[in-house]
Amino acid sequence: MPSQKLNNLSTVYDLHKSMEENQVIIAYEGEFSPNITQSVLSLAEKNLDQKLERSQSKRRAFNIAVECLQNISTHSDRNEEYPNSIFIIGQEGNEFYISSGNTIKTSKVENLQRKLDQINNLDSDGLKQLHMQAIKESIKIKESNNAGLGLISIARKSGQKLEYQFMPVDANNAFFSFQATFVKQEETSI
Amino acid sequence: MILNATFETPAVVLDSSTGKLEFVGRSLPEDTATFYRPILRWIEDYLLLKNAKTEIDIKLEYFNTATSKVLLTMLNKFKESNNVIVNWFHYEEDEDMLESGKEFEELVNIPFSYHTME
Repeated sequence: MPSQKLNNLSTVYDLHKSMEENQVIIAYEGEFSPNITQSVLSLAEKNLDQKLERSQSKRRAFNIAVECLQNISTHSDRNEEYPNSIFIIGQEGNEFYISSGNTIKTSKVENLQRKLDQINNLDSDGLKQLHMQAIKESIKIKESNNAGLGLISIARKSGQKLEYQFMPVDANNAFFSFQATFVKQEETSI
Repeated sequence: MILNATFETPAVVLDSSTGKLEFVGRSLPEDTATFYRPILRWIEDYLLLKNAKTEIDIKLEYFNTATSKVLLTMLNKFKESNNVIVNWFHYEEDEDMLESGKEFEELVNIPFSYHTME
């Protein structure tokens, strides 16, 4: 067991260094229950308040954080084997990145990838049209899948292309890494 | 009906005697059904009263996409009613919230009036 302990201690330092190098503001890795999601969101908001004060930039960044977190908690396919997801907010100068990672079923990869590519191929007017269409459709279906709407909303607030990657975990599962970038606007905050 | 604001739900005041429905703050719940079901039910009962006038004040700083679906469902309930107006509030510099209002106006057939808030 001593080696295990030593290993953990060096992991603490490695994680700390890695987070520092990547300019991580907050990171949470673990299970995402509704209560935890709310706590992470509250922590995210306090940090964004510090960095951006009350401004349009802060509202956009916070909106992206909300949708990212809710995408994790509603759409990840957690199971006993892969219970954990990750959520990160980082900053590099005027650029903020809001990232998430969670396990999804391999069978869902193709559809999700198609949605993301569709969103990335649209300009702001195209995204607006897609959003209007998606919201109209979403209220017709009772138990509809919100993910499309959430992703469109993230893309609109971000103003940048969405980045993503799927890593195979095993025959039935893949790890979905997602990142939205957000550039702080020059503005006077009130 | 009066509900106090929480971290992720707005303050709500629904007054059938004045025909004023007010939503203030933020609406971010993942589970919108639990929060909004009683409100939608109240509105259904309210519509039976056939009030002469209804004003819906939406003064939100944030809402998530799950809430936008509920808002659309809620506003659609007033489609057939007469003399309904939505007062859509936004912070002066918050163009996104103003644009959201315009999108809702396009989606539902109710007049909107836009106001800035402090």
